Amino acid sequence: MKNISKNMFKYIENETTPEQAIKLGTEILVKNGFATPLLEKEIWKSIEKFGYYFVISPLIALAHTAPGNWALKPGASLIVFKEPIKFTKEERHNVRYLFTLSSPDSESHMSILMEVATKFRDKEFMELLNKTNNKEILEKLIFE
Amino acid sequence: MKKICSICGNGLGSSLVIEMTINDALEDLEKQNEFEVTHTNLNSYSSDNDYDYIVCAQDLADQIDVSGKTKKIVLSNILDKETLVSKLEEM
Repeated sequence: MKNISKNMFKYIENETTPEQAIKLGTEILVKNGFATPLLEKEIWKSIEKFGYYFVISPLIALAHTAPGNWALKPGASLIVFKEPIKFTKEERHNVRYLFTLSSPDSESHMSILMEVATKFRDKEFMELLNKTNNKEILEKLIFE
Repeated sequence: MKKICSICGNGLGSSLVIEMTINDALEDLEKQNEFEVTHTNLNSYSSDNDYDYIVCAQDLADQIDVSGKTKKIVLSNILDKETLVSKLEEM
């Protein structure tokens, strides 16, 4: 992946709640200077307004919110969860791949989105990813 | 030119991804020159528009009304180009 570097990736084996998941996703962005701690709350505000529409395809979510001063630079973190997070009771809101996006404006993160969409809509690629729970293999598949 | 618009809550995440899927679907159908593809957010959207199609994700479908000639296409998987191709073919 050109637009997301390995240090923005985490693999979590323990069961995680939705709140913990969003916190972890935004923390990576904050730690690396892409966003401020306000991003976490803003993402939840978006969820309250629009529901769980950020689940873009089975098991894949793109957590994001409106542009604002909580986003410093365009960037994204990726967390892969061994145990999918259950955002709601509906199976279609289960998430194994959580991208958390920092978008200071409405466009500068476009290349990140395009790369994520292109890579993760490939059914064969997703089958390979979904088959493994090995962190090194996941890293290799995603970043090389 | 027909007009097709993708809509999401914030106008910078899902709608951009949907727009990408729309462009790919139109290429598959060899109709990319027949359509003007745009995206918008929920706040800026009004059912009083001249879009031929609007495309949105399932979770937002209930919040989006259409009127007149506008057809609403709802996607449960916004990365799925094949399903969008079938839906466009049906309409």
